Amino acid sequence: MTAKRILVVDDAADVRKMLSVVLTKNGYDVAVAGSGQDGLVCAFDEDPDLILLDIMMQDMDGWEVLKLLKMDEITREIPVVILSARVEPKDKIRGIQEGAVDYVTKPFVVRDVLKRMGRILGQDGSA
Amino acid sequence: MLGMRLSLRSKFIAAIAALVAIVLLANAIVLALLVRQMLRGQVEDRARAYASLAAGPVSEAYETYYRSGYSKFRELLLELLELEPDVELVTVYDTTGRNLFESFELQGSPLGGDIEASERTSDERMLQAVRGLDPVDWIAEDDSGRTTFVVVVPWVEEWGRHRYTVAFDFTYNSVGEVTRKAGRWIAWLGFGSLALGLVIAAFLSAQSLGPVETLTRGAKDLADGRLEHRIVLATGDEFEVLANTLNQMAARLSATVEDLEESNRVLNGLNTELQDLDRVKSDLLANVSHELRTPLTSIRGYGEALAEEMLGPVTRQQQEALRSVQSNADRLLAMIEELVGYSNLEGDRISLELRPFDLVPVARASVDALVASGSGHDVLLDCSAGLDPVFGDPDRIAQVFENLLTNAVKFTPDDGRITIQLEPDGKSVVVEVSDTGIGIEARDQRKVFDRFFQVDASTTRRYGGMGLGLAIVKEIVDRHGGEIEIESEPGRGTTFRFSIPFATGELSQPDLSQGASGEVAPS
Repeated sequence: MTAKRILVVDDAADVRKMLSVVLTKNGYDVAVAGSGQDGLVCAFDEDPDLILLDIMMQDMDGWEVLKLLKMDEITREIPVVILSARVEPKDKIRGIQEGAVDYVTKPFVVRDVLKRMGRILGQDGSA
Repeated sequence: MLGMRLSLRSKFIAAIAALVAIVLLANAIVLALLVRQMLRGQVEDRARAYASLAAGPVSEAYETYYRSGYSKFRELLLELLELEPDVELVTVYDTTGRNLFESFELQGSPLGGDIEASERTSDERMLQAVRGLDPVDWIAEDDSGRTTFVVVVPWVEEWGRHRYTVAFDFTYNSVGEVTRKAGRWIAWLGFGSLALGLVIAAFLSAQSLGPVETLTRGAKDLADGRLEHRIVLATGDEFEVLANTLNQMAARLSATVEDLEESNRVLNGLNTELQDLDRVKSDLLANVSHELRTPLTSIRGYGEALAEEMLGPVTRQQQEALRSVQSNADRLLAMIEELVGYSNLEGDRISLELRPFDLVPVARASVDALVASGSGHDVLLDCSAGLDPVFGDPDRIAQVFENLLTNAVKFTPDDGRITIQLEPDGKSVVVEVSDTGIGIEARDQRKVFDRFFQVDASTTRRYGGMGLGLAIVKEIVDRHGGEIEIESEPGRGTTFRFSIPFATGELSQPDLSQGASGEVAPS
């Protein structure tokens, strides 16, 4: 079985790096993007199995990325998990309404995120 | 304002008119009385003169012709009577008072007189006058109130014989006529003067009230806020002084208004600044929250990855160090949440979403979360079955439970017991969260709800938290219209108590009625 490909979109380099390391160690194939635009390009080019998307980013924020992803035929089917520092319930509701499959607030428990990803990708815990 | 002005003017005119009328009336009365008096005097003087002159001829004519040649007598008498229009009656008496002849007879037959002498006069005064030798006169008044002037003149013959006395009755008719004529003149003059007086009064009042009207207009301008308007009045009297005073007042007022407007501008500026600051503070808190969460994500993520040995094996010592990193990161996160949460509550940025809800599941969820967090405490939920729904914001009430439980856990030994009790009491549910912890000294009991309060400085180090948890609890309970109470005994434990109202029919009614009307409305 080939490794599932994960796209991490986050403008905080440390978080990107950390997720990249942790996910790679857990058997995922990880691509990273440091901005909304890069994330969209990556999503079109790489066609990942799952996208971890930050919301508060410069220029193009996560909401816009999510909307554009959901507007495109190809990328529409890619499950998106939002990882955001916004903790208000209204943001969580908006995320689900706009098509994200899950919403995890930062800082998160890595094990918890892995578990959720596994469930979405039809696997158990780790790949 | 118009009515007052008219009234002032009409008062002025009425006063002048009344004054003129009174003076004229007094003048007229005095004048009339004087004229009448004077005319009567004249009439009387003339009457006396006439009587004294006519008495002789009348007596002689009577003596000579009355019996022998009546027509001659009549001719003579009529001639005499024609001389004086005021003479009404001439009567000839003999000295015993018998009426020998009355001039009324002349109007009868021109040929024969009343030969028979009539009765003696019954008038005592007349009788005396007839008998006397000197002329007498008086004013007589008959039954109808008509006055006549009576002159009685005895006819004394040359050698002193006195056989006849002649009485003349004079009317005041001429006086009346002249008086009436004079009265008419006086009346016309009076009316003329009155009319002239009114015209002059109107003119004078217009003259003197003109400045008042100017002043009134000026004052109205002031009242309407046209403070730049000035009253121009050069009458040289008190009105001008008043106008100048009003102008000064306007100037001072407009200066004051300018000052006030300036202050207002400054205050508005300050207010805007404050609002900006408040927004900045709120934005800042949101940003701080975000900016702190991002690095914490890396710290926690790496810490966990290391501890889970995702990045290679770690020693026991390293494990311990990592646990400390994790728990401190968690504490930091808890503090951020506390701070942002309280700030939002305090700034009214979060409004309660009140609705009926079941309290038991909310309490149960808080207890379960506490048990799941792995505290060793014995946590109990004590409630009667079938508790009615309460009215409040379930999310905020959940926060109250969470904060009270967190607080209880902090100050209760691991083998202690923590209890949530829900007890219906009339229209509300009394909620008690009690622990068997270290308790709080009486002097500190009220202060625990203050922001950033810690029982002692070491509490922070030992138990964590920023001292906002109970302040948030109090704020939420307050905003539900309740009051939180504390009961504590050092060494024995602490109980927090508050109540939430049951959801009554009335409170949940609006939602139902809205739904119903929506369905009923025809589409």
